[in-house]
Amino acid sequence: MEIDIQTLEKNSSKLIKNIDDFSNNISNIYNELNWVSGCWNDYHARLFFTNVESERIKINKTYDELVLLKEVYESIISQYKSIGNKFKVNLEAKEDILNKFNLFSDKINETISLYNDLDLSFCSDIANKINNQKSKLLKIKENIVSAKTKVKDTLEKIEEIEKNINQKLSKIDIEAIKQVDINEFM
Amino acid sequence: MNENFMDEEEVTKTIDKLEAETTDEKLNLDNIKTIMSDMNLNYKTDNGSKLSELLDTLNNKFKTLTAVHDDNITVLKKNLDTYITTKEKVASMFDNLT
Repeated sequence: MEIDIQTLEKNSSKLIKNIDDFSNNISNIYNELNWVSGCWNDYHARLFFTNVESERIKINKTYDELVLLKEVYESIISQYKSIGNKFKVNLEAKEDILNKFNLFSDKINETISLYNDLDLSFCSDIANKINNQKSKLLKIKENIVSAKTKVKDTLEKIEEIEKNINQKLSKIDIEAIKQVDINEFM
Repeated sequence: MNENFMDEEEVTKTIDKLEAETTDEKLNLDNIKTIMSDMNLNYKTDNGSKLSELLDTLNNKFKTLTAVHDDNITVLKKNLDTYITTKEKVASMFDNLT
């Protein structure tokens, strides 16, 4: 997966403006059609304006659908923003990634254990150097464990966000609009 | 009883306004489509693919919306033409009588 939150955010403001414009344009069009319904009346006009009214309801539904999609994008932005701006990660490799940290940590444990097995009673200088190395290795291990926790938390957070977005998306159903035969209005 | 009538001038004005909405703004659907496509390029996930599918469905709906809008203009234009032609025919019939 690859996500660029900053670019999404820029586009999101444009999207809000354009959906508002769409809503205004549709309102203008149907207000105009409503107005002209008072300026033309015959059999065809009655059929036509009845159809226009049902169209208006369906088109308003399109606006609602656009708003729902806009809310999904806003939700993506706000949730990801709390953890970063750009993401490029393969969630399917999550366990492999975490195992790499474990392998590194295990290797350090092994090395420390080898150091512990050494009999250094006869050479205090070397013993000091080895102890310093041991401390350094323990510090590195600490950092690895902390990094692993951070990576694990981030990956779990990403999984949680995606699950949440998926739930929102599954509730969106875009209703089709059919073009009617206009010959009956002419 | 419903009286049949058409205010030629007002219907012409409405047609002009509706045509302006189509040609000038294109109902803003092209802009929305472009922005959402760009957004999906910056959200490459499984859900992003779902969003793209929804956007495809929405694009088809946008095409229908534009066609419906064009149809409405066509209906008004054709009925206006019919009204003007009939009015002229009737006027000519009266002219012939006198």
